[in-house]
Amino acid sequence: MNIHDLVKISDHEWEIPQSFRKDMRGPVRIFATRELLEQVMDDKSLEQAVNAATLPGLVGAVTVMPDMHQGYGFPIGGVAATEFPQGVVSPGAIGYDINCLGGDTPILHSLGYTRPIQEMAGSWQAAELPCLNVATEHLDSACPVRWFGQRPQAPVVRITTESGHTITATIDHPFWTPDGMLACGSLRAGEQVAVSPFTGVEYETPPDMTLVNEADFSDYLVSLGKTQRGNAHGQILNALRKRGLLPLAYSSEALPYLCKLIGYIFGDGNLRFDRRTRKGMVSFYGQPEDLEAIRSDIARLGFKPSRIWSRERSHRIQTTYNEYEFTRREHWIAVNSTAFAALLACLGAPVGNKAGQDYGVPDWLARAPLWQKRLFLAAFFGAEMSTPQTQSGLSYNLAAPSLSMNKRENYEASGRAFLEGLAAHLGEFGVQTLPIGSRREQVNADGLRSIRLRLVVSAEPENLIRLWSRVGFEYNRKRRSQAAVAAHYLAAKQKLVAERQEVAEQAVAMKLAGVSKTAIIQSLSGTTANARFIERSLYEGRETGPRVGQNFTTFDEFSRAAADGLGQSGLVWDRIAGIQPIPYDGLVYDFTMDHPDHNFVAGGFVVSNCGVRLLASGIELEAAEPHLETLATALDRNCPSGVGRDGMVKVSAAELDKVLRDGSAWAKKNGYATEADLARTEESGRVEGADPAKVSHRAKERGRSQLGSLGAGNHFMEVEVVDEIYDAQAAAVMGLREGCLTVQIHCGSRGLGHQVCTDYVQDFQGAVRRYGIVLPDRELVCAPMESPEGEAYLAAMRAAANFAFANRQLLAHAARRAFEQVFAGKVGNFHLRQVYDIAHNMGKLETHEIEGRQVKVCVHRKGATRAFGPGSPGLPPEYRAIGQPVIIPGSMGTASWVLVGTEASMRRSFGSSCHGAGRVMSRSQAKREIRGDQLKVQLERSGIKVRAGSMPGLAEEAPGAYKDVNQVVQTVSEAGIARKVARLRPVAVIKG
Amino acid sequence: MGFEEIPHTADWALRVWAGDLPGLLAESARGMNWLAGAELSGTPRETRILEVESADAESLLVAFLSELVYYAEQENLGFDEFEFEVESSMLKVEMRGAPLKSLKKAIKAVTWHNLEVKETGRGLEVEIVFDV
Repeated sequence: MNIHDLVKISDHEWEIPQSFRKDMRGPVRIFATRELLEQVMDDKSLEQAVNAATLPGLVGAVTVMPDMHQGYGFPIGGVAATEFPQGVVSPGAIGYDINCLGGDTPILHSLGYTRPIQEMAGSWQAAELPCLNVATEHLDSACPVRWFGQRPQAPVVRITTESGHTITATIDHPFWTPDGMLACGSLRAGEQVAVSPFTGVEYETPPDMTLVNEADFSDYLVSLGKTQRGNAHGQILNALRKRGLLPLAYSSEALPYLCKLIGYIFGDGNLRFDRRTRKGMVSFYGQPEDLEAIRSDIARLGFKPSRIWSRERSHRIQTTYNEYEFTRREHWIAVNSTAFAALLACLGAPVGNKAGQDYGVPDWLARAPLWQKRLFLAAFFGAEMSTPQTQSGLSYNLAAPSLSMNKRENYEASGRAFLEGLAAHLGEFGVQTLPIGSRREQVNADGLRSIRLRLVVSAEPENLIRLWSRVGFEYNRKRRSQAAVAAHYLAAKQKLVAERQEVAEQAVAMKLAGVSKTAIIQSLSGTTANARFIERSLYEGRETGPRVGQNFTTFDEFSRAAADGLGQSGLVWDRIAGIQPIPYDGLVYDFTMDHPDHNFVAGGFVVSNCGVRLLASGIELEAAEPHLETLATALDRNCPSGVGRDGMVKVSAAELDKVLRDGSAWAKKNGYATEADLARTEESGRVEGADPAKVSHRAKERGRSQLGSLGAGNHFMEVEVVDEIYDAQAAAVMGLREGCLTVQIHCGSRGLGHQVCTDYVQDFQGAVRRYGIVLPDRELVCAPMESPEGEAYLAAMRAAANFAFANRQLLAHAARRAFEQVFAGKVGNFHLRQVYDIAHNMGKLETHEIEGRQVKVCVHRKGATRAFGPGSPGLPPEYRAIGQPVIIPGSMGTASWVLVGTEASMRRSFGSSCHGAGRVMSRSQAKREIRGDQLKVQLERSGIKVRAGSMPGLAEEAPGAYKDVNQVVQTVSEAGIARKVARLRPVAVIKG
Repeated sequence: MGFEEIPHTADWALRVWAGDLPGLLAESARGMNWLAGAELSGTPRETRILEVESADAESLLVAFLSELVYYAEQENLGFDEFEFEVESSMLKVEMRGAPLKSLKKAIKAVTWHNLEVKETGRGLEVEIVFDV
C-alpha cells in the first residue's frame, strides 16, 4: 500500500475508501499525522485494517489509532464495529484444556455403544460422541479433534452417584452440574451431576463377512423386474458401488445406519416399487425433529431425502370393539431412489402393505454384534413401542412397555414369528418379554379378518431398567428422554427398596436378639423407614418385598426435577454419593471435542485481556525520593513478574470459576479490593454474561496459577510522578496532584486469555466454513454473534476479561502492600486511590449513532481503549461530567498520559482512543541495536529505578523501539477524540 | 530444512521450510525453541503424546506448536525430539524432552495470521507469527 492510496481528510485524519478493495464492507479511517503514518507504511498495519473491513456485518469505518502497528490478523490500535445481532464476533480482532479419565472409562458413542477410552487410540478419529448442547438442551453428535493419554498430573478420585454410576477421573476433570462445568475436585457428596441413564452396550468388532454381494443383489434386481437389459440395472449397481454400499459387509461404515433405517421401516416406514415403472420409493413418518435425524442418516449414506412434508389427516378406524375418529397432523419424508429402496428390500425390509404379507426379523441380524442389533431394535421401538409412563391411575409404578402389529388372519403366524424374533433378540440384552398376545379385530373390505398381535415387556423393574438403559429408542427423542428418566426413577426406587428390605431384616434380627420394640424403632427409624414400617416388619411380615412408601416422589414429580435444564437430552441429574481418592498407576486419557460445548458422556457422566490501571497517591516525589530504591524492590517482591511466573494466589478450579464469573467482585469478596476500586473500574470489574463453562480446561489451567502476576513482554508496573496537568478540574476529580506519585499497572488475562483466543480461533476455522464466510486472513475467523459458536466465544471472552480485572486488582492490592511497607511512618498518607481501570482488548456490545440512527454493535477494540465522552452510560458519577479517564502507557522510560473521552470520540471512533505509543521497531531489531544492561544504566542515570527479570526483554521494550507517545497523544487530542488531563513521568519500572 | 526469523513489528515471526510435513513441524518447533531461548536440562527425559486431527496442515501446525507453548508454561517442559505419524488429516506425535533449564521469552500463542503451508522449491514452507 502506498500513502497515495489514502485520502487526506485533515492533518490528523486519513481514509482508505471502501473502493480500495472490492471485498471491503466499509472504509478504513486512520487518526494519524503524516509523520506517524509514514512510520507504518512499511509494516502491514494498514493492510490488516483493510482485511478487518471485510468482516461480515461491519458498520461504519474500521478506525485505526495513531499508535497503530502490525498485529496478527487485526492491527494493534484498531477498532471495528459489527452490527448486533447479524454481524460477527472475531476472536482474532480482540486479542488471545488437561484433565483426564481412567483408562477403562466407557465412552458412549452416538451409535449407542461404549468403548473404553484407552482402547480408542486407533479409532478416535472416526468416533462420533453424543455431546450436550447447552443452549438447545439436546444431544448433538460431535467428533473428537484430539485424544491423548498421559501420566496423571493431578490426584485421581473415584466418584459414585446415588443411582450407581461410577467413574475414575483426575480431580481437575470438569463435570456438568446445575452450575455449569465444575472440576470434580470442587464437588461434594450430595451435589448434582448430569448422567446418562442410557448406557448402551459394549462395542464388538463386526465380523468380516459380506451381507450383500453384487451377484446376490443383481439377482434380487432381476426378481424386482430390473433385468440386465437397458441401463437401469447397471445404474443401480453403480449408484450403490460409488456410495460404498456394494458389496455390503457387517464392517461397512454404512451398516449401522442401515440397521436403524430398516428397523424404523418395519414400524413407521413404507417401502414400495411403482407397479408400472418399478421405481422405488421409501417414506418415513414421525415427528419433525425425529425425521430430521432420519434425513441426516439418509444423507450420510449418500442419498437425498425430501424435505419434511406435513398435512392434516382425518382418520376413521373401525374395529370389532369400537369405531374411532380423529384428526392429526402427519409429517413425513420420502426418498425417491430405486437403488436405496432395492438395497433396503434386499436386506429384508418389507415391501408394500405390511399387514398382508409374510416377513420376519432379517436373518442376517443374528450374526451382527449386539450393538448393531440394538440399532435395529431401538429404531423399531422408536416407531412402535409405547412411551415409558406410569400405569393408569398409579403414580409410582411404570407400565409394561408394549407394541402391537396388525396382520391379516392368514399372515398371523408370520406376525407371531416376527414378534418372537424380536423377543429372542431382546433376550440377548437380558430383557424378558411375556408370551405374544393376540386379539381378533374387524373384518376388512377384502373379507379377511385383522389379528392384533402384541408384544409386552415384563414390567419387573430390573427388566425395565435393562430395556431402557441398554436398548432404548432411536429416532424418537421424546421416548428416548422419557426412557432415560424412567430408568433413573426405577434405579432410585430399587435403591430405596433395597435399603428398606435391609431395615426390615435388621429389625427382625434385633427382635430375635431380644431387643425391645421401642429400642429397635429408635435405632432403625429414619428417612428410609418409619416406625410403622418397622412395626409391620416385626409383627405382620410381608408376602412381597417392601415398597417405597408414600413419601417417595411420584414419577411425574421426579421427571420434572431430574430433567430440569436438561430438556429432552436423555440426561438427568444424579446426586454424588461419594468421592474417594484412589491410588492410580496407569495412564489417564481425555478428548478435545469439536463442539462449542466441549463435552461427552464418559462412564455415564457428562464431562467435559490486556488493560491498564492507574492508582493515584498524595505522596510528594520529594518525600518519596529517598525511598524509591526500596519501593522498587518492594514492588518487585510483592508483584510476581517474568516468563511463566506463578501469581500471588493459586486458586482451586471452583474458585477460578468464581473469578471468571465475578472478576473484581471476587477480589473484593476476598479482601483484595474496596467498593471504590470497583466503582472506578470499567464495568465495575465484572462483565456480565461471562460463562466459565465456555473457557476450556486448558485455559483455566494456565490461569489458575497465574492470578496476581504481571507476566512478561510489554507488561509492566510503573511508579510515576504527575509531571504536568493540562485540565485542572478533571485532574482534581481523578485525585491527580502535580508532583505526587501514581502507580500504573499494565497487564492482562495472562495465559488464560491467550488460550481462550487460541481455542476459539481454532474452533472458528470450522465455523467460517459452516456459515459460508470468506475472509482474507485465517486469523480473522469469526462467527455470527447469535450463533452457538459466537455466543460461546463472547461468554468465554467476558470470563477472560473478568480474570484480567481481578488480576490487576490483586496487583493493585500488592502495590498497596508495598507502599505500606515502604512509606508507613515515613509519609503522612501513603494510600493509593484508584483512578480507573480499563481494558485494551475487548469486544463489547454498545449502542452508537451511525448515520443518524442508534445501532447496537459489537465494538472490537484491539490495542485500543474505550474513551467514552461526558454523560455516557456506565461511568461512575464523579466522571459523568468530565468523561471517562483514558490511560495511555508510554514506552519504558518515557511519559505516560491521562486523557478523557470526548463527545467527538463517540461520534467518530465508536467511543475509542489510542492505548499506548505503538511499536516501530521489531523486537529482534531492538535486541540487535540496544543492549539491555546498557539501557538499564541509561534509565537509572535519568533517575528511573529499574527492576527487570531479563535484560534482552528490557532491550525489546526500549523507548527507541516505540513511537513518540507525545506525538500519538497530540494527534488524538488535536483530532478531538480525547482530551489531555495530565502527563506522568516514570520514576520506577518493574518488568518481567 | 531450516528456519529464519523474519521482521515483525510487535511480535515474532519465523519462516520455516522442510521437505515434508513432519520435517516442517519439527523445524517449526526448533525455531520456536530458538526464538524463546529455551534450554533443556539433561534429565529426566519426559515423553508426551499428542494426537490431533485437523482439516489441514496449518491446523496441525498450530495445534502442535500450541501444545509446546502449553507444556512450557504449565509444566516447564521443553521438547527436542519428535516422532511423527502423519496420515492425511491425522497427526500423532511422540514428543520427547526434559524440564526447561531456562526460557528467556514467553510465547503466549501461535497465531493463524496469514498462515499458509506452501509448496516451494525448498519443499514445504510456512511463515508463522507468534504472539509474545
